[in-house]
Amino acid sequence: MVSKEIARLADEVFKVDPKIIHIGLIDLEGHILLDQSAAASEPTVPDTDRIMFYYQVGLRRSRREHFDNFYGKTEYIHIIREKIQQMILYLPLITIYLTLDATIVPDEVKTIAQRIESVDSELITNAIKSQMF
Amino acid sequence: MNHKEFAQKVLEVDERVRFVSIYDEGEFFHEIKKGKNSYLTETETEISLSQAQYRWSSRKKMAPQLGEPIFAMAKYGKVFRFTLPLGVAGLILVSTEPGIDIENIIEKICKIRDKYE
Repeated sequence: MVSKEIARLADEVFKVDPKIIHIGLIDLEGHILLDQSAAASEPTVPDTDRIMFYYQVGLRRSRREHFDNFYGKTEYIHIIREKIQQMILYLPLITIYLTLDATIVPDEVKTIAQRIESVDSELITNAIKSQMF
Repeated sequence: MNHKEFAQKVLEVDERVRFVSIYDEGEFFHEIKKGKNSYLTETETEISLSQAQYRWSSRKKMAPQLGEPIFAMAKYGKVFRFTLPLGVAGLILVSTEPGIDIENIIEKICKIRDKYE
């Protein structure tokens, strides 16, 4: 069940740039909070491959954060592939995974990262709080 | 491949390039620019490089669905870190100061790689 606060955060991220194709929101243990395509009005139900993929994204976060004291905080990760581009941002307690249009350039990715970082902090806080019991 | 020569060529492409590592035929080779201090200890460097290698191999597993990874860039507070494939199973890792022109540096590294491959 996707909380309305998580859904609102996803909506806000989609508004940042039309080149965002897909969003995955993941908790610190790699569990999926939301998985949705920009073209869809509702979140998708992830299959086993996607669940495993997001689990690995979560695992990488904990490994990267081990080096934060040396390199500084991880701001974002950008991966260029033959078919698509991917981007990962670490918010407190939530990881944002994005699939981006293949035509996007690194400077645009940087701008997307900056815009997401400046999304209303109350909206982000509410999304995080909605995952706490 | 002459790893030392390759690393030197990459270190020379821009004054903001700090560190180059090559994973080739199961072994790591790394070189830091003269006058720069490593942010990591020798042990931390080894751990970081082996984790990067693991990450890359897990990315390659998704190639049938998403396409082969061409490069990855992680922006940290103090550094940019680039990861590029080398040959079939090798890897190049390059750390730079922040603020570098990403497309430009990638293009230059790829040119050197293509010459040495």
